[in-house]
Amino acid sequence: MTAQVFNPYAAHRHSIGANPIRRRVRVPEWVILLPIMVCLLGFYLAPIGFSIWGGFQAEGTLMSGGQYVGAEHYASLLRDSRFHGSLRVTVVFTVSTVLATYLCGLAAALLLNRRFRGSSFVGSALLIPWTMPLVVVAVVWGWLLDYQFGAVNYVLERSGLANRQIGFLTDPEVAIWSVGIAQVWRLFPLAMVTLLAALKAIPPDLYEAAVIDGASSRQTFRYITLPAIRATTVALVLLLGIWAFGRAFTIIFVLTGGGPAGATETLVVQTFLEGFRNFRLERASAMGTVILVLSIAFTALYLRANRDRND
Amino acid sequence: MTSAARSWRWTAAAFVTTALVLFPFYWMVTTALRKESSVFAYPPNLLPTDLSPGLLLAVLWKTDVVRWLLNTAFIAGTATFIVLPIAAISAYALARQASRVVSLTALLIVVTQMMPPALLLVPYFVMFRELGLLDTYTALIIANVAWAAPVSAWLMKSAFQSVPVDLESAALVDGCSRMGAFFRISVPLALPGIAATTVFAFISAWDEYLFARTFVSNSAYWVVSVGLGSFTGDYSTSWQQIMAVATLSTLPPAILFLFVQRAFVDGIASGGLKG
Repeated sequence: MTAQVFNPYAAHRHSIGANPIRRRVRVPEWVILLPIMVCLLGFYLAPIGFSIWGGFQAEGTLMSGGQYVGAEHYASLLRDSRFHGSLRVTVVFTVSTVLATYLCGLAAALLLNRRFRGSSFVGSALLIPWTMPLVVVAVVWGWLLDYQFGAVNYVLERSGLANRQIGFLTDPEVAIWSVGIAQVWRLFPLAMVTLLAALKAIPPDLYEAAVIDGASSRQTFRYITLPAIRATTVALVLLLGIWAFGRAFTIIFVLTGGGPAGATETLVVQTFLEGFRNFRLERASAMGTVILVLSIAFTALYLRANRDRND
Repeated sequence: MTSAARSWRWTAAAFVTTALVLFPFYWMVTTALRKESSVFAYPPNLLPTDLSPGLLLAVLWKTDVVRWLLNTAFIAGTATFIVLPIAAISAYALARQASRVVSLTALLIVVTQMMPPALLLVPYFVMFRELGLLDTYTALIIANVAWAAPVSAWLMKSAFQSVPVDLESAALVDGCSRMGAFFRISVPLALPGIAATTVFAFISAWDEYLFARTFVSNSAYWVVSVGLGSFTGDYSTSWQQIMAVATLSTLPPAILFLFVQRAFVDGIASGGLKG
């Protein structure tokens, strides 16, 4: 798994100028890059521009050329308690799922970082959640957490951990954690493989030296393992955060539709509902722009963290 | 404690953890294989023995799942087919060239991967409406190509970077054309990464829900994710049928994943997270 981490040819990238290949290119690179540039401009930059523009248009005018109303939608969002609620839900969902995904991924990576019988089997088996389609994950957890017939309620009640059935998806206090668990279950393998690659890249001599010096296993973890995976951790946590914040939709939407009573209505879910249930496309554009601005802030942090990591 | 005993302990702990983690998967498959009366039995039987594959296959004619699967295969297959050449040549340029255009493209690709799809939903919807493409396969193919091409290029970039430049130089010196060097040296050597990326593009199109739900309302064009999602809150479909459809729609991506698992994991663990 470290094949590309220790890329012996990586140095060649920097010596490309001295290479015959560069001199012999006849097709200019922008021609080669044209298709992807068209894709990036036509399907990302232009639509994003359209969305930003749309957020400043009067309600119901987006389809017919628009009518400028200034920051009216933003002002109304600031006053809207439903929007405030969804900000709170988004923060709770993002922070808790990122933290849990990271910790579960780290635990699994530490488990697999040892050589033991069946380790490659376990390593493959733990990837299964990651290969499952998001909607499948949602309906499977919907079935597990079903109020009446769900296996989880049965096990909890049987083992005495709960004395009554829990409305995992119908109780506003609980629903956010239920969708979070499904999300973490699906994503932890990504954290696992990333952290495992970082763990495997730690030179074994460091551990040997620490053992000779009489370090306890807790000390080696604290002073060797953690610093060695620090950079990967920062990049991974930011990436998971950006995705949980701006991309998590399918699992929440299929499991609860944003309910009960808005308890799982993250910004993304609310944007979808505004746009395509209430058909307020201009307001949805304004909400999308809010998500964009926050995503850009996180992305800038991510790029900086990654630069630090690669240096 | 001897190291052998410790290793066995570790194995036992690992297998118990794995079994617990995979319980949802196990529960999906076993529910799909059981009679309705057995699914709703209380207390539920956690180790059911009355499994029959016939029940799994019965949903093929009890629901529209065959049509959904064919729609999904067609859309995801076509999108992947279009993404592959675009991503491959872009990735090659990104891996082998250094210039302002290249770094700008690379930056844009990374940034677009952070973009919330919810932001693209309204503009895409307006665009497809203007073009009369709502309720067509074309809209979903375009949306999936747009979504998968940049990230695929990014993932393939590290595959091409792992091909030694010297090999290409040698081919060029020996009189191979630029295109010849690309197809005879770079592509074959980068093949594991290219294959993994292809599977990635196919799986993400197979998995796609947000666009498919928004741009298509006619159930004749539904993909399997939308069809499966439509079961929630619909009490006429039993849990056994829902889990059967879920199992069937998990199979194609899971089988493809098995073939490229190693390269896939390497690509994500190294290239995928690199900025």
